[in-house]
Formats: sequence, structure tokens, C-alpha cells
Amino acid sequence: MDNLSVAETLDEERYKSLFEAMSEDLSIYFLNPKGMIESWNKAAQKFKQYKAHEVIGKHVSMFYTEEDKKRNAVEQEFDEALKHGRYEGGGWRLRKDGTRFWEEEIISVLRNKEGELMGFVKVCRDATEKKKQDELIAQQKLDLIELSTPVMQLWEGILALPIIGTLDSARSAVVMDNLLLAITKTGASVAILDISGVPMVDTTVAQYLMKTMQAAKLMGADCIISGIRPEIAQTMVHLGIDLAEVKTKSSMSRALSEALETMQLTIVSKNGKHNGDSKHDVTRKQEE
Amino acid sequence: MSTDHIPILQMGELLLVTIQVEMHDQLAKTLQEDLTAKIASSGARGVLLDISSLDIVDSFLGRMLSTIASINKVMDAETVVVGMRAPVAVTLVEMGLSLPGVLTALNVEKGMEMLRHHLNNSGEENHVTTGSSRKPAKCHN
Repeated sequence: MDNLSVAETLDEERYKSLFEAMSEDLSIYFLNPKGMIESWNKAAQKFKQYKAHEVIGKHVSMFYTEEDKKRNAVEQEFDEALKHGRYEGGGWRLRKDGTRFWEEEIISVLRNKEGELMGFVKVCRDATEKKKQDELIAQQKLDLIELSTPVMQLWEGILALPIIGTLDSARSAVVMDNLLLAITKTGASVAILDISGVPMVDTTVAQYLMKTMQAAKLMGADCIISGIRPEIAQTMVHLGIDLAEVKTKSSMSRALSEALETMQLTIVSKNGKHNGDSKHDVTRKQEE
Repeated sequence: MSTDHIPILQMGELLLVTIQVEMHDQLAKTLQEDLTAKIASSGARGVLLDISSLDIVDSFLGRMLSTIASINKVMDAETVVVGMRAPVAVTLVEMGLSLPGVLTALNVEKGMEMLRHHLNNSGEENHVTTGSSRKPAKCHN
């Protein structure tokens, strides 16, 4: 943004009207090499609430927060601008009434024809709304990850984690945290990780799962992976993913059966009548 | 280098070691020596390594736990590492030290239970098992 060459191509009247047009929404003002404010415009007054006579001659840091002033933010921005010709960034600023707003700014260096520093021009705008939205989106993303990795206690000592959606690094970190926290709280000895809701398992996903299971094992809990769909089983074998040490089951119910076995528990029908499955379970235990 | 010794408590056939301080080379070596001596003299069949006081670990500790477990095994004593905190577990796994072949339990109580099952399984036959094999011991191996 080289003001001098722009001024050469436009005549004064058009240059002035260009400036006026920008002044409605963009806060533009000139600073001397020391950072003292030399000019003001409509938008600057609108955003910062100060009138021209209240700011001209004062240092630009008057709009900066205490934290920013402490870490010499203004000097850092000037240094950055002097190094590269301009500085682009943002920060919280203070209005006249003390309220904060998020400002996005560009600080450009002004030099005369001899290359001497004439000062800076600062173009900035109030981007508080956008910042709020960005933060909301980031928060919602976290919430979404939290919501889609619940941890449930199926029985005393047995946890179930249905994982829904792609298992990326962010999600797997949440799964691991949630699982380890649940193990600490409930003292569980078995955790069933159900991946029927995970669309794709490649080497990376398998690694995430392994890490999670290893961490759980270090805390004394065995993991069983359930919900392995046929495609996933084939993909894993083709990729050479070694699940030698890992217990895998096709369904949650089989995983639960395995978990009960590990905990030395058995389900017995109350009235002594055996329907298909429970009879099967009881019998199997006796035969072993 | 101090000649501090980490106390080893004996509870019947089990030994309990609680690690509360940062381990350095000399301390680890001393512990290994003390443990093997104690196993030999007491005839203990199980060792509980309690690390529930440790907030942080480094790879040295991870390797130390593995080493102690292996040495004890040679002396016919099973080792269970208990009380690993979640952040410690994550750190070890991230470092690639998942301690394969080391038994682990959430706390001392579960660790003792695990050791008892393990010892009854491989030792005297007078403990009644209800048909199915002792899965906890098998899984962790």
C-alpha cells in the first residue's frame, strides 16, 4: 500500500473522495514515527467513540488494553511493519467508554521519496461480530466432538464407548481423555470401544485406537473393540494392521459377553427357564 | 549421590513398593537391588509397584518399570504396576512405551486381587475356579 504512488495516479479531488468513501467503514489514521496520532476519520470516531481533538497528538497505545500495553504490543507491531513494510493483525481495543471490541488492522509504513520514515498509516475495523462467530464455531466444534463420544457404564466395571464419526486426531484425543477419566472415576476393568459408527479405518485410525487401548491398559483396563463391519475387517487385514493383541468382536452383545467373562460374571435367568441364549451362556461356562 | 533406599513393605507373599520421588539412575539401581534381595529372602511371589503419587514420568521411568518387572519375573515373582494416573499413561503411550508384558491395575486393591488370582492360577491347585480360566491374568500377558 504505497500512498505516494496512488497519489500520483489520481488527482486530488478523486483521491479525497476515495478516502471519504473508505472512511465510512474503515478507520484510517496517520501516525508519526513515534506513534502519535496525526489524523482521524469518520469510522475511527464511530468505532472508538473519540472525537478528533481528543486523540490527535496522543499516542496510539491509548486504545490498547493494559495487557497489550504491558507486553509492548504497539512497538512489536511497528517493528513488524518496519521489517516487512506492513503489519496485519488484530487485538482487543478499548473504546472511549471503556468497553472492548476486537479490531482487525493493517499498519503500513510511509516513506518519502528519499526513503526516510514519515510515519505509519493504520487501517482498521471493528471485527467483534466475526470474532464472536469464529469463537462460537470453534466451541461448537469442540461440543460436537464431546457429544459424539459418550462413555457409558454398562455394568459395574464395564464401560462402553460408541464412537460415531471419523476418528481424526482431535476426536481420538477426546476419546482417550474421556475413557481414562471414566476409568479413574469408575475403576472399570473392561472398556468396549464400538466402532460401528466409524466410517473408515486406515492405518492412522488404527494407530489412534491402539494408543487409546494401550493407555487404558496401563491404567488396568482391558479394551475390546466391537462393531467391526466386514469392510473394515478386510481393509485392516489388507493394510497389514496387526491386531494380534487386541480383542475384537463383531457386535456389542458379543463384546459384552466377553467382558462379563473377563469379570468372571455370568447372567442367569430368574425363573430357571432357559431361553436360547442364556441357556447357551450358562452351559458354556459349565463346559469350560 | 545419596544412598537413599525406597522402602519395601512385605504383606504375606506380596511386596509393596511406593514410588513417591523422582527416580534417578542410582535410586533405580538401588531399588532393583533391594527388591531382588527382598524377593530372595522373603520368597515373595508378587510385587506391587505403586506409582499413584507420580504426576509426570519420563522415558527413564517407563524403562525402569519394564526392567524391574523382567528382573522380578526371573526371580519367579510377578509384578503389577498400580495407580498410573491418566496423564502419565498418555505420556508413556505417546513416547511409545506401552510396557508390553507388564501387568497393570488401577489401584493397590485391584493389584493385590490380580496377583492373588495369578498366583493361585499358577501355584497351588486348592483354590476353586468356576470352570473358566482366569482371564485377567491371561489378557495382560
